[in-house]
Amino acid sequence: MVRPSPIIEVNNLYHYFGKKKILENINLSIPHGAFVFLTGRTGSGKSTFLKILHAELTPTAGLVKVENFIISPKNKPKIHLFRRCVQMIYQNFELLDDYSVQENIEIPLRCMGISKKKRQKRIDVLLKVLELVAVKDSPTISLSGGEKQRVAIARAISTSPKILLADEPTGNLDKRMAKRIMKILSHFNKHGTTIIVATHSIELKNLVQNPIHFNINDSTIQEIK
Amino acid sequence: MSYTECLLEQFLLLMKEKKLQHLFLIFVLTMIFLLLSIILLINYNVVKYFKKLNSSATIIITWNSEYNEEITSKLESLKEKYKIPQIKIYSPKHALSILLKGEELTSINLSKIYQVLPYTAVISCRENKKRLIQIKQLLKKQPGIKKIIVDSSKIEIINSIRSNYNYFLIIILLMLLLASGALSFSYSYILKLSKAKELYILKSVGASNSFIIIPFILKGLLSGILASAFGLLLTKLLILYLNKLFNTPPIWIKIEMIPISYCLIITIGIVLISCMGSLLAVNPLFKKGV
Repeated sequence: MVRPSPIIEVNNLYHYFGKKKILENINLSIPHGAFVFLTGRTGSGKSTFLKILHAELTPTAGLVKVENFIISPKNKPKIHLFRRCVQMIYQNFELLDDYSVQENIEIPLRCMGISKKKRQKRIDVLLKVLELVAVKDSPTISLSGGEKQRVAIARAISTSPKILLADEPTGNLDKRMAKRIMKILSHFNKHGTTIIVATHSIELKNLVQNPIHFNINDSTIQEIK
Repeated sequence: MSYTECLLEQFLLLMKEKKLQHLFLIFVLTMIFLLLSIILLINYNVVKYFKKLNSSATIIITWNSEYNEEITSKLESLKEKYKIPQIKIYSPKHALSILLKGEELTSINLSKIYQVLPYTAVISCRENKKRLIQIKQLLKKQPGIKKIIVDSSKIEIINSIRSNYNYFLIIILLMLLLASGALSFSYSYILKLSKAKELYILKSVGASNSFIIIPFILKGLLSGILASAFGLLLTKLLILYLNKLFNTPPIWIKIEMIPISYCLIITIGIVLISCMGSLLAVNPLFKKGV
């Protein structure tokens, strides 16, 4: 089977925190529309790798090409344009507790300068898809873990990013809720979003069709077929 | 257009936070504006007075009684020609009374003493020093005049005080502007700390630097403008009150409002410093590249 053209290409990537080696000579390519699992032990460098892909960290050496953006020690993309293309879902959700579900989902849309009418339309669709209509006006502090994660996904997906990075998206959830979240992510993947999930639970990949699996071990990365 | 609308929404969200601190900031900035305008007000009115004083001078001339008629008529003609408001002439009798400090003379032949003692004239010209120098040149040629003294020692002392006062004034003005900048900086810094998570999220979902920074600058701008408006109003009220107090008999000191250019300078200064303070407080956010 011929893989579509890559949306992410990583060449000779190294990352150090001081003298501590985190990632060493990472080379990989991820095709458009793929569902990628990035596994590894705690502290293996999964989150660091995702942060580099999200341009939160600058690699010590090497080159990362995401869509038309290039991330390297000497080159940083225009962050706001890059982030509209690559969104991130965090393990601890990173939601604003005092804001309602709607207001949290609205944040990236407001940053893009979308008019209130268009924003509301998009939010209504997302609330329906993610089954959040009943809690749309509740402050996120009052929500359960699963609901919070769905709000985080809705916020990340609201700008229709090409790539969605998820750092341990089911880390704080029970098995039933983890399954539901993976189903939601699969739904968006089927609509063309490339999804990269960093997780330490390998069994999650059984919930997705045709996933690509990379494992980080001893600072190096390996594709597992 | 919708981007501006979104920016405005973001600004309103920012303004919702720390309302009390914001009111306090506006209050202190207003007080700083008032202080600045009071200093400039004093300076403006004092400078006006100094200018008058600086262009004034006094000539004291003396002559003997034998030339009295001649010189008195000369002085009268000068008074008319140069429109000198007042020439005070002191006779020998007056000079003697000053010498004796009010004691009476009975056994001395006064007429002989008066013949020996000189006449004195004090010619003061306010706001027209050049004219007085011309008069002095004319009087030099006049026969019978013993002495001509130009007295400007007091003015020199006042001028030296004034030049030192100017340095002092500049230092105070700078210190006050710095204080307002520091205040705006600390308020924005607190606001930034309280909104750290929101700012982090904004950056991580794709907000541009301008989208985050503009509401902070707008906040500084608004504080500066409001403080300037209140400060101006308070200055105007203060002048009204002071004039009611001092512009009455027997003092008759009229305090004039500082010119519009001064008000504009303070307003621009306060607004700029307030904006700069906000900008400096949020600037480190963009160096980290989060």
